[in-house]
Amino acid sequence: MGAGASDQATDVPPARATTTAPLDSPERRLFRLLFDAHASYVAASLARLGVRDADRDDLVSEVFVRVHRELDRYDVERPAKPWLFAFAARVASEHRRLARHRREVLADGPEVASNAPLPDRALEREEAKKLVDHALDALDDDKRAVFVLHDLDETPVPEIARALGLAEGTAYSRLRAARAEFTAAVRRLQTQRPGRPS
Amino acid sequence: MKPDLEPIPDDVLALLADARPIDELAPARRASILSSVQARIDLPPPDGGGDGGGESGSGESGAGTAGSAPATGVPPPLLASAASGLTLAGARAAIALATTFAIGVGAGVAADRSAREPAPAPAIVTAGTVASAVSSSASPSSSMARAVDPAVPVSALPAVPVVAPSIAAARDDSPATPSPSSGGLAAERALLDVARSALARGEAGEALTAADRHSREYPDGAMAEEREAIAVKALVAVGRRDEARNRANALEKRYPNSLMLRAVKGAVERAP
Repeated sequence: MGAGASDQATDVPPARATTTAPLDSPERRLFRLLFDAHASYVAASLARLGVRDADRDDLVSEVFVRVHRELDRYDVERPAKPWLFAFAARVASEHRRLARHRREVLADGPEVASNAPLPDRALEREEAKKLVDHALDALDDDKRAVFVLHDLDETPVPEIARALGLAEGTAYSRLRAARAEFTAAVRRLQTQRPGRPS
Repeated sequence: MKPDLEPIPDDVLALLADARPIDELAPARRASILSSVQARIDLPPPDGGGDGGGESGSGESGAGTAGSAPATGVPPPLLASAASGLTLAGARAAIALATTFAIGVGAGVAADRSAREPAPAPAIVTAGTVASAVSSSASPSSSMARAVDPAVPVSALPAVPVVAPSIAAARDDSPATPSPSSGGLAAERALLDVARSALARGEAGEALTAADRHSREYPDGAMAEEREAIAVKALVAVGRRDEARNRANALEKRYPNSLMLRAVKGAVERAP
């Protein structure tokens, strides 16, 4: 897909008018398509990038405001998710850096882990998610983004490199390091809390 | 170039597979996020969609990451492929969009409803009709409540025909600083942008200051509802929980249909 798109941003700004987009403009329609199809993905990505549930809605908004601003850079021939993920990664990283919002481990688990009893399989999934989230915390932002895109979103490395603006070699080396660190973190967490935490 | 990657152990792969499915956002949460996004991008001050002015410290380098995508404009014919490339939900939303925008602010709830009742062939709407639909949305927050009012049958509202000027022409490229002459809404929005972005950065005190200033300058402004929501969250964040609760209750009294209520009450309940 998108083999025809040039790799280099030629940066020819499209002609622009000074008026705001009318309410039914194609731009707005495209924006709504992106929001409707991918808001949940963006929220989930922010969670995987370490944003706490309490902050997530605000940051999802922030992501989409920026997406709106950069809409003319959206290449419809490329998958939308990695492109959106790049916004989420930046917003999450700024959030953490500026606000010193260190993720509080297990401070607020996913809202699903509430009172309603879950079937075993669902419970297993929730445990897996928590474990994965905690292990992800061991990675720095750069490696974390590449790892999530590759091993959770199953995005091919060249696409990751393009979305994050990295050289492919850099993406590969981050991925390699991230996998080793992630696996080590999982092992560490598994020995720390064998079985299910209460 | 594809260097060998160490394989991931099977049990870790299994963990990843379990963690892979994405939880859909609850409809109310999605609607509240959308309303907050639209409040920031839909109001049409001359300074337009560039929110840079109010986003001190957070927006400066957004293009750095995103800019790696080829900077092609999106010519109208490609929109169709955008629609088809997206999910079924997206395609349904496309049907719903015209209707949704006809009633001003596209609250997700309304979109969902209209998606379930496939819109009839879009009626051609005169410019006057569109203009009145638009002007009725000048106050996004309160019209949001109206948009989800079940008393308004969405399917009865006129759909806006899809006229497609090029996206490029619709883009707004003017400087992002709000100009004092740009009218109340723009100034209101700029002020709230400061509050919102401060809150997102975790600077609750700063958010509160901006929200208070908004209260003084626009006590009954078009964005009063949103301001109150921000103020409640900021109060929670600085530990003034009682004030937060009182203000949340007042918000509920004043805007019983507000889409922000859930988020606001959630914030108060989660307060330590």
